[in-house]
Order: sequence, then structure tokens, then C-alpha cells
Amino acid sequence: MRPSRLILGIVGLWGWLSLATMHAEPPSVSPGQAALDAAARQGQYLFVLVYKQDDAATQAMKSTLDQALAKMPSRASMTSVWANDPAEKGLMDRWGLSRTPMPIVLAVAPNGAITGGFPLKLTEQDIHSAMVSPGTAACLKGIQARKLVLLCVLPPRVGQPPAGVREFQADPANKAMTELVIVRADDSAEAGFLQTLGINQSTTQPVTAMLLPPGSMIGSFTGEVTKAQLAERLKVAQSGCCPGGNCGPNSCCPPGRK
Amino acid sequence: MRLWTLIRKELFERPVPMLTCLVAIVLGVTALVAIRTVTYFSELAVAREMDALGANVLILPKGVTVQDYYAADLHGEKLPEEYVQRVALSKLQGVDNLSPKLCVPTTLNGRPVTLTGILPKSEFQAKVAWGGAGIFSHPIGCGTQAGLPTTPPDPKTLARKRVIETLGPREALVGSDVAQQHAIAQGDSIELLGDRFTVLAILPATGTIDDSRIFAHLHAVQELSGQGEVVNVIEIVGCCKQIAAGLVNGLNQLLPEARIITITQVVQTQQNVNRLMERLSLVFLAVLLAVGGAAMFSTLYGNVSERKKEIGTLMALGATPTLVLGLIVGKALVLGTAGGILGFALGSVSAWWLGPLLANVAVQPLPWLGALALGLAVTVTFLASLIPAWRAARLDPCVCFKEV
Repeated sequence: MRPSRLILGIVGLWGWLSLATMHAEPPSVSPGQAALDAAARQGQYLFVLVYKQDDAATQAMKSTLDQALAKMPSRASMTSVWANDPAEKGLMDRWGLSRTPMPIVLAVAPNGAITGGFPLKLTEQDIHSAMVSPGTAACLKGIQARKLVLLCVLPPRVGQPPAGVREFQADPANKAMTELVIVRADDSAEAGFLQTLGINQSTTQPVTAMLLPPGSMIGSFTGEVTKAQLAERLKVAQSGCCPGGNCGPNSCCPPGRK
Repeated sequence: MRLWTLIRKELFERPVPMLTCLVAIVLGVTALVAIRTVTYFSELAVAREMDALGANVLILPKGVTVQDYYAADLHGEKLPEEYVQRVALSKLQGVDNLSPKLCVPTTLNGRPVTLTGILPKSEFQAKVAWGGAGIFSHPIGCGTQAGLPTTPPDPKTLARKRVIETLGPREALVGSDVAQQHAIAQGDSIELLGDRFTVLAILPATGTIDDSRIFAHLHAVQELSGQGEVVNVIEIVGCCKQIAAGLVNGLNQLLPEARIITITQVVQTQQNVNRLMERLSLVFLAVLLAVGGAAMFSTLYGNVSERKKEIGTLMALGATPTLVLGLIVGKALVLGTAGGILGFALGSVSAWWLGPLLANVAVQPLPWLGALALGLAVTVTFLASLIPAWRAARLDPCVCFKEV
């Protein structure tokens, strides 16, 4: 064999292998994960029905989902996941569903936050309540990552969060555990969320709310707030008597303790 | 002759009636002190338990009754573990922490020991944050514990707060008594149910049954004991305000197959006993007043009547009515003081012996109760002596001799 043909053959084989590699399927993802990815790409909510047996409860939940989601096809979709499917083990472990009562429906926001978990039964009201505002979903995602969420509600003419908030977040000691979420006060989509937090939508000053896992607002500051004030509030929340569960018989804290 | 010398001589003049008086006073004070001391320490134990456990709620299998909070998981009945997730996923407000437990008898170095499976908070806390926007409306200080990653978890919090942040599948927490008996130290490796566990920490002594237990991850205990996905009890550390606002009702609706009881209900029996003993102490107070006072009155009154001649002679020799009054009252006060001191001493000893038997509490003397007992005994005897003393002081020596 001529050397030129040999070289040509090797180059051809290398080219074919390269093309084959380029067109090869990426590492396979489970159907559940694929549905999550697709919903996230489309900015949709995904309702994941996780079940062990295709029993009456599962069918009832599926039927409720079908009926409710048919009315809003552009906003949400659903997928079913069999809990014992080996392909879905990663998803089950990530959500910690091995000991959860089944069937269960999880509502997953486009940003990946779980905005509702409904074991055993589901109503159309549950579905609607799980579809929260983008600001709520962002806060929930931070909380679910076990982070302190600094929610800054900015009035129309204010461009950035208070300096103290930025300093607090930039501090290397706080950076990894803090999530900054910015919401516009005049955003009508966030009206309900802000009302839940007791924040006035017509505020003319920025409002900073501190949210702690697993989900409680430990304080809010209207106007400028310093890094020291935020640190102090966090310290108080972590050392309070009732947050540790040490409630007195007649009140949340024994006399003299806050 | 000085008044004190007269009183001293008078006390030993007719000792039997005086001794009878003293015994009546001593017995009354003893009973009062013993009951009040046991009640005080029993109430203190209940209050301490309430304070330590706060507004805790127990989820138990139907039909299980509980007398001791710390032994609530030692009944052998079981609940599905999925109840933990149902509570965590519910929108009930006021659930601060959850602590499911499964107890398995096993041996350590050939000696029996109770292995308790517990679920660390990290296993279910994430699900609490699945509650949507509603979770942010939970009251501050109720239903939340700042669980930031920067907060280093202390495994010893289990002893105090009844929950633990994280626990590995083959890690164990050892109660102080077990650690002492088996000379176990932090970092040691121990064999339980045929598998090796690393001792994560030795728990501080609590004075409860928890001191004689070993705690390990619930799922490890379930797996090694072959019990399946079950627990014996689920403890809920709840916020008291929310409990009052209907947390227990909410739990009853969520888990109709289970029995929901609060710490208040667990200690109810003890509180009832305390109330009964408190009333009983009032009865003894009445007995002390009535019997002691009546005995002292009748003895002194009879004494004055019998000894008119002696009192008259004393007065004829120059004793003033005030001296005679002081003599009778002084004698009564000495008896009251002696009765109070002796009664307090006997009552404290009785309480020290009866406390562990009756109320399962260790007791010690209460100085303020000693002062109270002494004050009461002296007051009763003083009041009982007033009429006889007044009568003796008004005796006319001439009339006394005339009668003779």
C-alpha cells in the first residue's frame, strides 16, 4: 500500500470518527429531568407527578392536573415520574422523595425552585397557588439552597439596592450564604407577594427584607440600611429563644428573653 | 427569779401534758413540711420539663398512653415514617422542628442498651421550604430556625433541643450514662446491631432516660433492625402561640390515624397529683391550727385551773400579773418554737425519703419553709396561750388562798 493512501485512509478514518463524535447523543438524561429542562427553557412551570403505583389517588391527581393545565397550556405543563424507575433515581435523591407519601405532585418554577409539594391529594386551587411570581420563586430558590435572602423592593426611580445591602453581600463572610433578589415595587405581578410580606407597594424608599430558611422574614428595613444593622438582625434571629424551639409554657419566650 | 428560769422550771413541772402538746404540734408541722416540700419539688420538676420541652407535641400510634415524655417511644407500637413528610409538607403553622424516633433494644459489649433511631433536621427541612409564598407569612420566631450553612451544627443540641442538624448513616451519639458505663469517648468506634458506628459526640447528662440511650440515624436503625420505614413517635417542637391557635387540631386532621398529645397533657397527671398534694397541705395546715392550737389551749387552760394555788403563791410573793402572763405565754412560745424546729426537721427528712417514692423527684430542705413552719407553730401556740395566760394574770392571790 502506498504511503499516501495509508495517510489518506487514516485522515479519512479520523474525520469520520470526529463527525460521529460530534453527532453523538449527549449523555442521556432521565425523562423527568428532560421535562424539567424543557419547561425551564420555555419559561413554564412544570408539575411533576411522582407515583409508586398507578392507583386511584394517582389517577385522581393526574386528572386534576390535566384539567387545570388544559386551561393554561402556555404557562405550565406536567410530567409523570415513576418513583422506582432507576433512570429517575438522581431526581428522587435530589428531592429526597424516598420516604415521602406517594403520589405527590411537585410544582417546579422555571428557575428550578419548588413552589409547592402536594402529597396524596391535589386541588385546582393548589395548582394555582403553586404558580408564584418570579420574585417569590427567586426567594424560594435561595431559601431552598439554605441561603439568607435579601429581598430589595425598589421604588420606580431607584436603580440599585441600598449600599449596606451591597456591602453585606460583598463581604466574603456572607457572600456564599447570601442571595440578593431585586423586585420592583410597582411590578403588579409581585403585588401579592409584597402584601404577604407586609411591604407597601407604594413605598418611595427601598425596602430590604431578610428571609431565612426554611422560610420566615426576620426583619425589614425601609430606606438606607447599614451592613452592621443587617448583621445584627441576623445574629438576633439565630440566637432567639423560640427559633430554637425552646418556648415557654405560656409564651414563645421565657420572661426576660427575646 | 428571772422569767426564763421560771419558764424552764415550769416546762418540766408537769411534763406529760406539755409533751402531748409538743407531739401534736410536731406532727402537724411535720406533715405540712413534708407535703409542701414534695409538692414544691414536684412542681419545680414539671415546670422545668415544661420549660425545657416547651410547647412540644407528640404524634403517637392510636391507643398509646404516655406518662413520661422521655419514654414516649418505648411502647413498641409503630407509625409510618411518611407521617414526618406529611407534617413537613403541610402548611401548618407553628411546627418548629420534627424529631421522629424508633427504639430498638440491642447490646453493647454484651450489655443491654436502647438504640434510638433519630432523623436529622437536614432530612426534611428542605421540604418545609416547598410551601410556596405562604411560608414567608409564618410568624417571626415561630416555625423557623436559621439554618444557614455557616452555622456549625453542634450534635450535643440533641440533648437540649430534641433535634439534630445532621447525622451520618454510621454515626452515633451516646448518652452520658452509657458512655460512662462503657468508657466510650468521642471518636470511638462501637458495634451496634452487627455494624460499626463512629461516636460523633457524648451527650451531656440530662437526668432523663436519654442518658442511657445511644442515638443513630433513623434509616440506619431501620435497616439494621429490619423494622422497615416506621417510627415509634414523632416529637414536634411547636410554637406555643400556634398550638393555642390550633396546631393540634390541624395535626389531628392531617393524621387522623394517629394520636396527638401535647406536653401539657403528658404532665397533666403529675400536675393533678401536685394540686391534690397542695390541697392536702392546706388540710394539714388546718389540722395544725385546730389540733395543735386546741391541745395547747386545753393543756394551758387546765394547767392554770389546776395550779391556782401555786400561781397565787407566786403572786403573793411579789410576782406581777405581767410576769405570770409572760410565764404562760413564754412556755407556749418555747413549745411552739421547739415544735416548729422539730417538725421542720422531721418533715424535711420525711420529704427526702418520700419525694423519690411518691413524685419521682429528689428533694432537699427548703429554708423558707422552715421559717414558715416556725412562724406558724409559734403563732398558733401564742394565740392558744393568750386566754389561759390572761386568766392566770387576773388571779387574785387572796381568792386563791381562800379557795384553798
